[in-house]
Amino acid sequence: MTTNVRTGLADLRKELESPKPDLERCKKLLVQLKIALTQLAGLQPAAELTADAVSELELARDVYETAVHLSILDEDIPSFERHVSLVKTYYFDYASVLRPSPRAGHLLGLNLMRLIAQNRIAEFHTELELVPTELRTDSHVAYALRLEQQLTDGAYATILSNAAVVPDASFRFFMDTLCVTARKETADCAERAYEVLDKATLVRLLALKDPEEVDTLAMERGWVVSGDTVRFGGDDAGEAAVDLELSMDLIKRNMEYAKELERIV
Amino acid sequence: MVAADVEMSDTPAKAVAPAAEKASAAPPTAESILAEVKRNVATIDKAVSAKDMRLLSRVLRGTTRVRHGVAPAVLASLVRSHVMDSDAKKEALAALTALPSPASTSDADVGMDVGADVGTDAPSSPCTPESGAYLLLLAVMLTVDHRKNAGGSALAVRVADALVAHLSQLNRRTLDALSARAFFFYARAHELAGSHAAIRPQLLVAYRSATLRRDVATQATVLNALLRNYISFRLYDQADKLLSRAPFPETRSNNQLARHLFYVARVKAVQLDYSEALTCLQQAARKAPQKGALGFRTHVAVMAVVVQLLTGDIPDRSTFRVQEAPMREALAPYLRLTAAVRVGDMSAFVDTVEQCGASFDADGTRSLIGRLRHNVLKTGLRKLSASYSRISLADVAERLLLPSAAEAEAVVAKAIRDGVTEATIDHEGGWMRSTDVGDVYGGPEPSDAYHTRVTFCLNIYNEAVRALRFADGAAEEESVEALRARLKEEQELAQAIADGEVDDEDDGDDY
Repeated sequence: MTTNVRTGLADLRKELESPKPDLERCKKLLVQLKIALTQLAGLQPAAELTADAVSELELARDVYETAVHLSILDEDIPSFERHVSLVKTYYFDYASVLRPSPRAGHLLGLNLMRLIAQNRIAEFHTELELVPTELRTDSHVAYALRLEQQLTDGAYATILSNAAVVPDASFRFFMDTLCVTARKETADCAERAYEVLDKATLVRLLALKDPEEVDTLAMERGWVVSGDTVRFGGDDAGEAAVDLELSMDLIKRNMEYAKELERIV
Repeated sequence: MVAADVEMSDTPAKAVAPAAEKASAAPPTAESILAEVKRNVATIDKAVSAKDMRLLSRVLRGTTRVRHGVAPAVLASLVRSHVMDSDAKKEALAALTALPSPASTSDADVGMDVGADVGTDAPSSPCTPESGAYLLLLAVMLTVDHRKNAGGSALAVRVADALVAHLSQLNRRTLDALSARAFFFYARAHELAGSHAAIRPQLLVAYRSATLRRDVATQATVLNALLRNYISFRLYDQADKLLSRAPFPETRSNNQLARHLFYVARVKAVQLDYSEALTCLQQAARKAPQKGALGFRTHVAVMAVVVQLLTGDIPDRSTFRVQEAPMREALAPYLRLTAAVRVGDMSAFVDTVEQCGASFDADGTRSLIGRLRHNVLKTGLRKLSASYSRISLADVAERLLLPSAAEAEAVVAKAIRDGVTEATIDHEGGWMRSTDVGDVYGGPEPSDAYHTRVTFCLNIYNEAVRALRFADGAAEEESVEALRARLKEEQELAQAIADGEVDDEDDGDDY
């Protein structure tokens, strides 16, 4: 039975590692593998932890780890979450029984990345607490940790410029989501922090591809583009409206005071 | 964290016990302890027959003294004569005989005395399960106390297991208070032996039956044991889910409430809900016993300091000026940390984290402190923009230990957007220019503040006028009603305070 699973897993891995994996075929293989797993004795509830069972548990862990990679390639987030939570059981609950997986750091790092990309920071910290100390130095986990710190500090430009450098190709999927967020945040910050910026700098700050994108962005956000510089004075019209509103408020209040005073006197 | 947390429960009790003994006129002798245990057994029997639970809780309150005074041999003979035959009794006896007797000359005599004594009155005293449980509980406490000996913790686990199994067979409401204690020591013994991952199912079962039987004491204790269990494995997610599903019983001892609040605070702090965590910690500090329970209070104080820093506040200097030396020492690294955060000194912060890393790790606050970096950054930036009207971004990067001027630029930009500082960045010149805080009186704030006050005054005036106008019978009747309601409320409050005090005295030894 185990040999079946082993060959199936090898097949799946080979397909995934090929330059152009056939995802549909991979999913079929995975379903077959999962069905095969249910028949392993060591995976039954309340099974004894014999040497055989341990190797079967490790096999199951390998299958689910591969499933996580498949979900990433497929860009299927719910399936990713499901498989990560399956794998976590093997990492933490069986920590004393199984040999540590060489891919543990990679997967946990990916999971942390997902939480950052989805802006679920509270859950990020909850998950981080679970990551054992020896794994925190793992390049994948450390990468996610550094990203989170840069995000809280506000070093969006650094994130954007380093976006190309990921520890593994599987990180790119989440990194893309993150870049969109970072770009938006940078634009927000730039609006408030600068009065004028030249186009070239803005292109570099936002890690845009060409100056034309600045124009479209300026249209959306109401920036004034004049020649080579961008002026963030888009607020002027807004401020006037605020001023008017303020004056109206003041007038209303003073009228009220007058009315009340009249009643008292 | 686990190691330090463990100490929280026991050290204070031990540290305080000798002090308490010194304070009382005469240290308890072996004889007086023996007499007390016997008296307690009799009181419990009486409590059970009279169904008066106050007597029982009075006995439990005095457990600490007995626990530290009674010799294993003495207890063994009491167990032999008073407890119904059961597996728990066998285990307890085996454990007690394995424990070394304290080296005291009169010990042998006392042991013999007891033997003779007991020999005569054993047949005449039919013992209730409650007093049996009390003696067995004492046996568990003794074995837990002797965990330092070889195999001590394994022994404690076996006795506690047997006791819990024994108690779960008996379904008597009079046993509730005792079984709560039994579960506490059951969880504790397993934690000391390192086998506490495996007891979660049992605790969950115990929680369910306690809830069904409306046994609030056990319910509260077991819930706390579960939370502690989850937190010690950093399973904050599970702890949070448990918290959201399992309400903490409203009638419970203050000590359990304090513990519960502490665990809630830990979960909330991890989930970035700092203000909620801080409220819980402050309440926990208030509910914890004011004398004793030093370990617990230290933990609460440490957590409170870290969480308060995370909320952006700076704790009072008086927080660190505590009477008890061990607590002051434990807080010392946090004092350095606070100093660094207060002035926004990044290098001092990094140094502190490096040098005191071990104690932060032991307290389990390391990851929370890691999050403080951002606060230091913000404060540092605020100081810089306050002191310089113009400063180059390279200097900012240097002061705040940022890797590059470009990163400093981004950090400053975010700070400006978040309203941390009032400044603009000149990208060409590569500097940050603090904009003067504009004329405060030019903005709408003064008029807003003025407006709230005026509205308040006008409302008072209008209400006063209205009250004068309608001073008739209807209003009077209403006020009588209100008076009655207030009196009733006051009575309830007084009652609640009295109850609270009773609870306060309750089980001080658990900590």
